[in-house]
Amino acid sequence: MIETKNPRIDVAQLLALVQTEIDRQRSGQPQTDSATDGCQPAGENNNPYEWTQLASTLDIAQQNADAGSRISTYLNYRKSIRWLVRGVGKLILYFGRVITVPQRDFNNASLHALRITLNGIRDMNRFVDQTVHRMDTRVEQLDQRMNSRLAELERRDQEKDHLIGYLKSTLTMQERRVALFLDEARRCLPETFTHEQLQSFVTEKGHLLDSLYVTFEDKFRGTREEIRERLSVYLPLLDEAGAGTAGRPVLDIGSGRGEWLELLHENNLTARGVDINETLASQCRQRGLEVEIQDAFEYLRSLPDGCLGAVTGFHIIEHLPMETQLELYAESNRVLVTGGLAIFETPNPQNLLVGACNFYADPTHKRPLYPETQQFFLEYRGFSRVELKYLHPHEAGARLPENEAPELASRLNDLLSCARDYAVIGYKP
Amino acid sequence: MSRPIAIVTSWFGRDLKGGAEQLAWQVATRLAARGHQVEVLTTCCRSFLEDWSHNHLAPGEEMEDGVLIRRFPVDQRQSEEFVAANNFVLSFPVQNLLPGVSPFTCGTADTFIYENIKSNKLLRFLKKNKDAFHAFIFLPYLYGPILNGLPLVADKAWLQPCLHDEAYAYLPRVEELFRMARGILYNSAGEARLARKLYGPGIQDKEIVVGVGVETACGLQSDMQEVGPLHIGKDRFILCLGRRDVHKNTLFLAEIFAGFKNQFPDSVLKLALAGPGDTSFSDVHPDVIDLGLVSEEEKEALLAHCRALFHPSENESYSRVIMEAWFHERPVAAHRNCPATAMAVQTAGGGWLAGDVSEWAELFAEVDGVAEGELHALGLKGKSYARQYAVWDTVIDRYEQVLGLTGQADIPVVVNKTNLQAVHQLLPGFAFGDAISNQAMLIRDFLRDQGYESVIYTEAIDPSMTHEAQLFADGKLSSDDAVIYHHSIGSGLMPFLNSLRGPRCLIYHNITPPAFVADHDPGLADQLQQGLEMLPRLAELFPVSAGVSRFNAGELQQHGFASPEVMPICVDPAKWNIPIPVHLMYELQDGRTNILFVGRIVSNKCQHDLIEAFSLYRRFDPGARLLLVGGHDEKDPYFKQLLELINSRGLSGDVFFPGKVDDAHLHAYFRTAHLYWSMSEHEGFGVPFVEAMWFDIPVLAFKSSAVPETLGRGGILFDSKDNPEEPAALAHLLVHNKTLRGDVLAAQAERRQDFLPAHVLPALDSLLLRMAQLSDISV
Repeated sequence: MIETKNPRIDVAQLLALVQTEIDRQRSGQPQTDSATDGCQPAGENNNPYEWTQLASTLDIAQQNADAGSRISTYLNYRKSIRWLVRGVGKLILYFGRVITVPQRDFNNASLHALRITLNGIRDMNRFVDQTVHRMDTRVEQLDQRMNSRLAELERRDQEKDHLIGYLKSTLTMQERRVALFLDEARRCLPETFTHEQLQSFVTEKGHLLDSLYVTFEDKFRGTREEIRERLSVYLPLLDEAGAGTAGRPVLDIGSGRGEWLELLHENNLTARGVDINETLASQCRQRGLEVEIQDAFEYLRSLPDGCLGAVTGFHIIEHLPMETQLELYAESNRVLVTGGLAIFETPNPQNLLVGACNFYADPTHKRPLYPETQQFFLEYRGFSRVELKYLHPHEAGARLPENEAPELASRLNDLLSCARDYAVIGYKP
Repeated sequence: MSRPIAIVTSWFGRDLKGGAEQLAWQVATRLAARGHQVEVLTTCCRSFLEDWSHNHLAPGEEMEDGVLIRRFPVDQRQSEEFVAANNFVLSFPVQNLLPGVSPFTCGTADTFIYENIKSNKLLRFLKKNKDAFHAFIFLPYLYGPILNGLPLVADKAWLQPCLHDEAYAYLPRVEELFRMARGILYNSAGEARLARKLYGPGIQDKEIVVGVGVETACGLQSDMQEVGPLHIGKDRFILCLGRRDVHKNTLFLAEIFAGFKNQFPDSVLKLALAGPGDTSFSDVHPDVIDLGLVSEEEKEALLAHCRALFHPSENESYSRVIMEAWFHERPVAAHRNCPATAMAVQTAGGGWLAGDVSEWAELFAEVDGVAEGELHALGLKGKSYARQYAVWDTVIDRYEQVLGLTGQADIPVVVNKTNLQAVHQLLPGFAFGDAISNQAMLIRDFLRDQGYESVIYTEAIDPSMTHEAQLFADGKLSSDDAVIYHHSIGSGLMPFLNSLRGPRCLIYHNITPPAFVADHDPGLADQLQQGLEMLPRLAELFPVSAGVSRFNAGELQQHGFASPEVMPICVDPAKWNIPIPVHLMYELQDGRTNILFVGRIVSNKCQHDLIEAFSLYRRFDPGARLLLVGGHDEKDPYFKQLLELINSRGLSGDVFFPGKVDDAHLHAYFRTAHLYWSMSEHEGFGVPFVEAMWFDIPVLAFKSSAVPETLGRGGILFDSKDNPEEPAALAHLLVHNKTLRGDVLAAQAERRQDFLPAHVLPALDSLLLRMAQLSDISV
């Protein structure tokens, strides 16, 4: 614990500062703050060999290079003794020549050599600076080129991974089909195919695009985490309706990749799915989820009255023609217990981007569904308290700037950024 | 007072330009006007701008405005050599200047000092007539007559440096002037702070901020309506007054103003520039009004009507225009990096500080937006400060006071109030640099000043200190004498103490618990144990006692002493008025962070914990080094253990043991330290904590024994060693976080005052009184 009696310091704040300092050090972030006043900045390197200093040092040396050639300090003496000092000085200079003459030669030669060396070093320094600068620029250019090339390679690599995944699952399916075909052929030949054998080939034909759709979903629907996050808004509704118990299980129609079923299981709710796509269903089963591979209507029809707590369907009704939708709602109403609920989520055409474009990203979509129509259909098929729940508004990036034509931009923004999906929710009375 | 005051300056005259020249004239004439005899000792050279070897004026004496001016001829000099030396020092990169390290080479320093403006006749006059003068004021610091003249009369010399942070200030001779002068007169508190930064805290007890008077004509009502294109009274403008020059940051300010105007095109604010200078800045932005040099009347009108004065220069020792603005009740913005102006604005509260571009830009917006009432309120605060430090009358009062011209004799602080004739001291050991020995000498000097006879007696003495104390074994101390006994360890003095009959007092300096040293130094542990065992008997013998801290007084009470008092150890920064080893200052200012702890290498000081914590600190600051200053024995097992620890942590090039060092070296360690860090688990007082406070080093310490009491509001304490990462991070903050460091140093600057002799010695006085009262009682 830190303590101080200093009234200027708040200990709680200081402790927080200390913790930040520790965290920053642990995360390996560099220290950005500068050193303090009143003391030498830590880490700053002193370079005493500045060129101007070197030059003025040589000037000083030059002024003293001719030592012994003259004496001028006698000027400091009083006039009365100045002549004496001058005479003695000259005498000393005369006898000193034995030493001072070669010394002066040495001084001047050394200074000359030093100046040549200094100029050489300066030139070299300039050359090194220029070279380093050139190299720096080239390294920077290379670096940029390499980075953009790397990014391109990475993108291609991801595309290839995707394609390989698709090819792998297609191959597995094809192998299974060939094996089945051969098996049946071996049993029948030379006899002709029975009706059932022909039917099994026909059925299999309906699944030919299954793995393509799986890959499509992976690319366009969003990550599992995103979907789970989006679906979690429905959990409280199930809870309120008491759905998800063993006596009132949940049925998810078109359970797809199984994010919803998974979420329900994690919340200890009893649920199963039904999906006609074999690839998706088998992936769900591998995750330990209960999924029937069957046509949803056939499955619904096979169920007794009042056996389910909830029927859900996310992004399925836009794949169905109107008659089938009505049948789905009627069958759902039949199999639900009293108080049970049905939830059907679909893209919201009121959003300009969704209605005009995004809806058509999936070629198996029939046509956009007007929210109030779906509300009416559910009511018509016997549901009560039918409501519309608008979901997933567009992020801010889709908005137009409002500074030039604010009114128009604002109205357009409402249409661009309103909910991308909606759910129609009804209860069995 | 019969003897005159002498002002020594290189050039002197009523009309000379320049801050120092004007200051010399004002001080001389104003002191003379108050009836003091004032002489000016100067040269025959006319001014700074002339040839320094030429005598323009006739030598001799003349009277002007009541001042006797003595002019001495200048001598011939090697001016080319001087110019070369001057160029050499000016070419020294300012960011490489280091306190205590000369930027001059040996030869250039001599050339600068002796080939400067010089007058041997003036120097001879000083030497010969020293006694004829009451005091000498030398100003400013960097010319020949001052550099060579002040040392001749140092004990009567007051240096008025007019100091700047420039290469000349780092000349060793300049530092010597500060050290030897009897007193130092500063123009501003910022200048005093700069001097302490350059020369350490040793000079602080002889400094005084006298201030500088500013004459303004602000009382005069001017009906001036226009100055150049500026409509005074109508236009809304900020004023920047003074030399218009890139080096004074004029361009810097004008460009920021242009940026501000581009951001707020609707603002009608203008920036008026006025002052000498060759460059015009009016093309920076149409609303930058460059008025050039203005007349006095125009200046007054501008000052009276501006919204605020902006003073962006970073290199000022004093700024008249700030005071002038305040006299006009206008607020001032100063540059954060200029100590002199920033400190004045901060202390006065008469404006704002700004440093970088964004701060200045914000300030333009603030001054533009704020109500006139608020500006005026700030201006008034400035005015009250200016009245204190910039009105000649109060400034000259301070000169009179400090030079002893008020006619009042010095009143002694305390007089001998007891009937005792002699009070001696007795202590077990007396050594150089030892805190107890230093305290004993201080007490002795105080006693002698009070008229007592006083000698220090000791059982053992450091050979270098024989002139300060006498051996107890010589038998000169009698049982009937009045004795102050310092107790800190077991000794052979007990039989004598038992025999004491005279007035007596015990001062307790604490005994380190023997357990701390038992493993490493059993001999010392025995002595400490003996010291502890003596306490109950001493309690019976000494009716008067004191501990050097409340912590120690508490221990005395536990051992049966009756109402012990507290007399802290004196820590006087004047002892640091000594030269520093240059090589050490250079080595220690190499850019690495210096973490310091001062204390004997002994286990209760926990240097091992400090090394461990330092190894964690290095994660924050990989270039840091740890300096563990204090005596150690190479054979001591604890010392060996520390060496092993250092090796195992890979710190062998980063932890240093300089050993027990003399004051000059210790001075260098304190001057260059960035943090004082203690992990010690037992301190009876902790003198180095207070010393660190004097050197403006933030203190980080483990909370133990008397440490919190000594630190008071200063420093930061931590009470657990369990998570050493926390103190390590805290240490890093104390070194690098300016705000935290500033807060800690401000509190330390207050706390250290409590250990000055003036605060401590009254406690001794009270002890002496009690001793005298009890002198008749025999135990």
